[in-house]
Amino acid sequence: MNLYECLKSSVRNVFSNKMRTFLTMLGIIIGISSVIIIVAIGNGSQAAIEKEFDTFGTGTLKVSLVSSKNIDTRDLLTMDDYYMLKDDVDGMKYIAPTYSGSNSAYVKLLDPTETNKASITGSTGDYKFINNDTLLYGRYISDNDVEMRNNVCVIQDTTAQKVFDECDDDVIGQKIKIESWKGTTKLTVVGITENTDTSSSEYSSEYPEEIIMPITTCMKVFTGSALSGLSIIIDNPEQSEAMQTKILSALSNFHDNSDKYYIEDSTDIVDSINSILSYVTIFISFVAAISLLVGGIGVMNIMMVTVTERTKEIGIRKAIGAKNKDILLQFISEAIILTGMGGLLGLIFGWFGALIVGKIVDITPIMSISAIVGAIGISTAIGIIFGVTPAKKAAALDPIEALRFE
Amino acid sequence: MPLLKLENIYKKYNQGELAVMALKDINLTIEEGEFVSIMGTSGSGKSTMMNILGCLDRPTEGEYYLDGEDVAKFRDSKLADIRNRKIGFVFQSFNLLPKLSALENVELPMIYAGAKRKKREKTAMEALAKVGLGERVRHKPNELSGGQRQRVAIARALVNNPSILMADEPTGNLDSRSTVEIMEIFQKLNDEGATVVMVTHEPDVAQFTKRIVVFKDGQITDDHPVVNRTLSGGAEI
Repeated sequence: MNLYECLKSSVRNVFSNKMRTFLTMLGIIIGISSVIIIVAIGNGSQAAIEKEFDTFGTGTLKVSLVSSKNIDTRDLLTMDDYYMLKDDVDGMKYIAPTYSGSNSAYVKLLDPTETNKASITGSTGDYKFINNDTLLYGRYISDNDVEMRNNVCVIQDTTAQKVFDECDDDVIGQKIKIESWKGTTKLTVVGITENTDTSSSEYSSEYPEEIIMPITTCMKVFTGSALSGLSIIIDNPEQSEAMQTKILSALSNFHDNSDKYYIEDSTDIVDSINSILSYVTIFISFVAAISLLVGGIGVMNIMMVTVTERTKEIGIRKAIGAKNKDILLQFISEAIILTGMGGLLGLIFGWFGALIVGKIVDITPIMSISAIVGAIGISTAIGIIFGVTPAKKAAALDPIEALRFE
Repeated sequence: MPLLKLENIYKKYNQGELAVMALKDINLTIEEGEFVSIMGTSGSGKSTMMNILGCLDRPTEGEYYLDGEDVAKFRDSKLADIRNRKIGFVFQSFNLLPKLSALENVELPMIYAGAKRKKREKTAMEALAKVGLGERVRHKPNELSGGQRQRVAIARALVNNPSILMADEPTGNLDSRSTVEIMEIFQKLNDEGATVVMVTHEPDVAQFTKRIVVFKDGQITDDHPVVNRTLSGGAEI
């Protein structure tokens, strides 16, 4: 008996009892679709996190002052630290000090009576690389701006749209008004960057407008001198550990203190989030695997019943020349068709489920080829594993006994 | 060379502690073109004989030559192959697969023989025509009468051109009219050269055959040609 005839006959048998077939497949459908949902959502959130950190800049070291310890004024990071590190420490590609302007600042919108919240960051030219900004028009703030304390700023395309109702070269050179408890400041726009944070557009009004200005100007406007931190991209990300030690000891020497600063490596953060995420995925997949196991046992159970019900048929087939191998193959292929179809339906339901769940938790699910191949492969494997025992039972039936069965 | 030759065949069943000797020292030769009925009461060993002749079972001892091959010691798969190519079965309860149409039932042995679909359909149609069932071939067995079902079963037995037809009480479930019709078919097939071995306990039915072998307590007690054979062939009966 060739494979085609065997499959044809199996499909016919599987479809001859649709309700039973569906109920048997249900375990597999649920198992596979939950795995697909978990994997698609897991992949989606992993990609979302990686993208988030991509704009922040991977391989970046962030130096900050340790919080909630006895901090002296002499421990605070200032522009002197920036110049010291820039001059004395080798192996740094970019270094940018950051100073957070007031969080309660507002930017005047097109309609003079309306304002929007603004998040104002003071930094140097290197911040472009730290922040991974893409310049659309004009130029970035420069070290010259920092030196001269120029009243200039770089805004995002979304902000330009809101403030000037346009986003092109014409905006360059125009002024935006910043309002804070320190009073009103006018800044000349020298550059426009692309807003790559897709989620911010959804909040449009509540989300603060990102404005970057020279750190010195920012300190003058908001009257302060303590840096919120220093961001550094090192030449060789492999030597992150050594660089961290080098930078920390340089700072401690400079301030004549110890253990007052710490460094975060953004790559480490991404890695640790991803590993937590993959642990969660593995754990939930394990739970889903149990449902697949239960589904598989269900398939085996039904196949056992089928073999008993069809004892007479097996006897007839053997009497007219079916070999044990033919019977074995037929029952295994019936089991595979059951689980394979279950897997396929699970794949479809799972994908729709992932889309729905993704909508609820605001994550774009990502379907990988390996998940599809895996789902089909696993469900087929379940068919083989749980189909073998009933099929062997069928194949081993004695034709005379089987023919006598009523 | 005889078509079928049994030499010193024994069949022993082990039922717990008790060993039952179902066949004792059977010697039997059947030539090509014979039409033999095997008779006997229940428990006489005739069904066991049928199973061994049909290669559904193996004797405990002895040799069984079918077409010159000693099939007594063949493995399961080899026996399945012999059943498929050399033996055509007709059963008392028809034993058709209920989900398949008459045509598909007849095609089944050819599927196991590995024949292509076109050839299968053609041969199956021919076999059905031979047993007088040219129509209704797309019907399921439960849509056919008993006589028609047995015709389908005979067509199925014929379809691989077997060396021998084995019929186990083929008229046991049929009314007298259908019985005659079925026996006519067997006679016609025999006239055309087919070798037929039939188990029956009805003397009337045995009268249609050419030779009667009687079993009792696992042994052959009588073996004689049929005199005053019931002949159909013509218009009467």
